[in-house]
Formats: sequence, structure tokens, C-alpha cells
Amino acid sequence: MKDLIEFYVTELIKLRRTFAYWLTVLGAAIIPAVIVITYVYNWKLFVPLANVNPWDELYARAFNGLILFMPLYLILMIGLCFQIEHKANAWKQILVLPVSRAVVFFGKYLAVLTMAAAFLILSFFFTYTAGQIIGMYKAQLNFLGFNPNFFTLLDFSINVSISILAIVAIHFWLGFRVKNLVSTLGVGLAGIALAVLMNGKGGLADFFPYAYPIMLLNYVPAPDKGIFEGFQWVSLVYFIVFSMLAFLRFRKSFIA
Amino acid sequence: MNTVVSATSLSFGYVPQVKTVNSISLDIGSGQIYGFLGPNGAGKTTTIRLLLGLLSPHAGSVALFGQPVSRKSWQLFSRIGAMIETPSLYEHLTAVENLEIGRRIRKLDPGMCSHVLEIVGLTASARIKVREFSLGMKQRLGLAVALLGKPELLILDEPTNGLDPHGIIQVRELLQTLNQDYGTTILMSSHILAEVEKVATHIGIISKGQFVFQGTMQALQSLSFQDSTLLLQTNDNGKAALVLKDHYQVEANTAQTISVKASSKAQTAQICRLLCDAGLDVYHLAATANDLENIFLKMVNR
Repeated sequence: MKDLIEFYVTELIKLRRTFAYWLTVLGAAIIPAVIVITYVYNWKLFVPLANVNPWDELYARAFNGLILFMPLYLILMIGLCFQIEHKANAWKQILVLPVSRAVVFFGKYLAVLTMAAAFLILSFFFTYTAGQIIGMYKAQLNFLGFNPNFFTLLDFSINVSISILAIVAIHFWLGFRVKNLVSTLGVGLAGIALAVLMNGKGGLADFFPYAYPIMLLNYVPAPDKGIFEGFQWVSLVYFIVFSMLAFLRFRKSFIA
Repeated sequence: MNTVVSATSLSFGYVPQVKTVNSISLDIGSGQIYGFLGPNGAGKTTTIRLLLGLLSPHAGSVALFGQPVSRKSWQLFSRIGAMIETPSLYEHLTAVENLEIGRRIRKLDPGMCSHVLEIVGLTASARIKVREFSLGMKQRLGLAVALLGKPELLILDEPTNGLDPHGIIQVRELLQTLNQDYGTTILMSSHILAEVEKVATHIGIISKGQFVFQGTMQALQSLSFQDSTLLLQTNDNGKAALVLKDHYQVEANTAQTISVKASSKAQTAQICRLLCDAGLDVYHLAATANDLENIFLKMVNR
């Protein structure tokens, strides 16, 4: 366990000052920034009715932006994380360190998942900051009179996290197989384009991983529904299968 | 003497038809500096990768410190420092951050990074990003990464690549110090004999995936006398030729010099003794031995 923690820390050190790091921080700020501009220029459209929480609409807009942007972010971020090793020609050096291949694999996987979680948390934080700024700019929008609905944030976080797991696992597996960043980006962009064409739930889309985040568009929490929807269970299956494939590939591979 | 590196009949090819490494066997004892020589493309790096378990041999086996090398033998690497081909460095990080990665994984004291930076003479550049480094500085930092944890076995693939003459001398002195003071066993590859001959105790020369010479440095040096020619000048070259022709092949006999074939230091001494016993004055005696570079080039068919 100590090996895994140390390796995980070194993975985070490697991400310092990288494009993946700045993409996570600045990428998370893009949607809240657009929301601030939209609210400031069209504030009259957003004045809430009495006793209506304005944060619900603000976060609903942020969720939609996040759902569309996050797959792109993940594809690019995972590709960049693997590029750090490929560019430094570092696999051969990593594999002659006194750690098992399982530690290397899970250390890197944890670092990728940490970046995805950081992106999500930062997005929520920047959206909250955006609400506060808008509230200070126009008191009529009533952001300072209410608080965001914590349950909605938590529920969305869990649902979006499950929905993106398939994409994370597929691109993590691709990271070991394909050295060229452009190729992995190409696969991801083609997947997203096809997902948009599939236009929502049902049919083939339920088995197409890139479509899962899009299925959460216009998200409304429904406490009475089951734990997860069907496509989310499929996402979990994809995650397990591709994670295993990635691990087997990495464990067996000899780096030429 | 304990065997630190042992390889038996190693064979490997990136494509099945072509064997990059063909039935290579080698043993490196504790405390040796093994110079692994060969021209570019001879199979040096592939052999090193096989020794470190980065490639799986098609035939043969490798043992380090008496334990067979496999994917599961990662604990062995706490005793080994390696630099394979170009140093693997993260250019967006500083020198000390690059070392910090290895230090944490090897669970070493925080002071170890500055210690190895001092050894390779990069203390002043510790906080500079590696992308600002020259090729020589990168090479030295790669060496510092390999030195983390005071390894018992150091495997260095062309460690002086890109270094200026001063840097080459520094690396040579460093390797000698590590070997003499800490007993570190060193395997270093190179395609330049002159670079290796000054430090190595043992030499292996590889060509087209096969060893063409393996032995001590002395054994290689003794080869330089094979088929060498002695140039002689005496007070009577005609008489000298007569004295020597019963024992040696006299190649040329002029008024100025005589050329005689000799194949060892002992024969040179005997020639001198024969001439003196015959009452001749020897003014000049020079062996035009093959230099090691020529021997190396002959061995690798260049």
C-alpha cells in the first residue's frame, strides 16, 4: 500500500506545470465564465420568481455545459497523461524501478481519476463562485438569498461519474496501446461525434460509451428512481472490462 | 567472486527471421567493470534490455544476483541502477523534481537527491527545468537518477553520449570511484573502445548479435601483439638478420632497419637477447603493434 501511495504521489509530481494540469484548472473555469457573461448581459431574463432558488437554474446550465465538455476533457487529459511517459521515453525507466507492475498501473489510474474528480469539483466550485459574483452584481437575481441544493450536486456528481467511467477506461487502455496522441484524440472525437448523432437514450446509444454523459442532458434529480439507469450499469461493465484489458496489456507487455 | 549478472544462451529477434541477439552468454562478477562494446546496431541495447527483463528472450535465461529475471522480480531493482539509451527525463520538471520521483519510489532519504546531484556536478542546476539543459547535462542527470540508492549493480547504456572530453573524463573517474570505494559492479556499453579501455576490467565485444571477444582487459591487450612487427636498428643489420632468421621471419633487411615478425612481448625480449648475445649493438627496437582500435575494428568486420 505504501508503494502505491508513493507511486501515486510521483504521478502527481509529474503532472506539475503540464498542459493536463492547466486544462483541469482552466477547463473547469470555462463554463462558469460563460455563465457569468450570459447572466450579466441578459440578467433580466434570469430574475427568479418569488421563493424560487436561482441556484437550481444556474447549476442546471452548468451541468449541461459540463456534460458536453467533460468527454472532450477526459479524452485530452488521459492522452496527455500518457504522453508524459511516451515523450520522456520513460516506460523503460519506470519498469526497472523496485515496484510491481500492479503498483505502476493503479498509481497511474488513480492519478487520472484524481484529475477527473478535481475537474468536477473545481467546476462546481467555480460555478458557485460565478453565482456569488452574479449575486453581488445584481441583487434582484437573489443568489445571495439562497444556497445551492447540496443533494442535487451530489446526485449529479455520482451520476456523471458513473457515466464517464466507460470513456475513462477505454482511453486508459488506449493510452497503453497507442503512443500517438493524435490517434487517441481521433478515436475520442469520432466517438463523441457519433454519440451526438445518436441523439439520446435508447437503441444502440445504450451500448455506446461516448453517448452516456450526453444522456444526462437537462439533468433533473429523481430520488424515487433506482440506483442507476440501464446505460450506467453498462458503463460500469465497460469500465471493468477495459480496466482489466488495460491491466493485462500492461502486465504482459515488454516495452521495446 | 559472486556472479552478479549471468546470461545463458540469450537469443532474441524483433522479427522472427532476424536474430538481433544470437546465443549470448556472459557472466559478470562482483566488483567488475564490464565494458560491453560493439558498433551501432550490434545488439548492445537489446542485450541490456534482455538483462533487465524489459524484453523476453526467445531462448536462454538471465539471472541477476543469482535470481532469475522475470516480470515478478521487481524487488531486484532496488539493488540496480540503470540508464538505458537516452536518459528518461521529464523535461517540464526540474532536475531535483526528476530525482524526487525515483527517490520516493525507492524510499530514500530526502538528502539523497542533492547528494547524487553533487556527485554528477549539477548542484547549481538543481532548480532548473530539464528542457533548459544541454545534452551533456541531461546525460549527467540520467546518471544521477541511476545512482539513486547507491546501487550494487550499475547498468549504463552509452553513458558518455553527448559529453564533451571533460565530461567523459568526469564520468570515467566517477565510475572508477564507485567501483573502488563502494565495490559497485558496472556494466557499461559503448561503441568506442578508447572510452571503455581506460576503466574496464573485463571486455565483451559483440558484432551482429554475437560475441566476438570476451575476456579480461589484459587478454585483449595481449591480442595487440599478435602479428606485430619489430623494427630494429643495429651496428650490423646484415649480421643481425642472419642471427634472427633461424628463429623468426625476417621481413625486410635494409641498411637502415630490419623488420621481424613477433607475436608477444616475450618474443620481443628474446629477439633483443639474441642480438646482444651475438655481440651486436641494438640502437633501436620498436614494436609496431596493432592498436586496440584496429583489433576492435577487425573483430567487428569493419
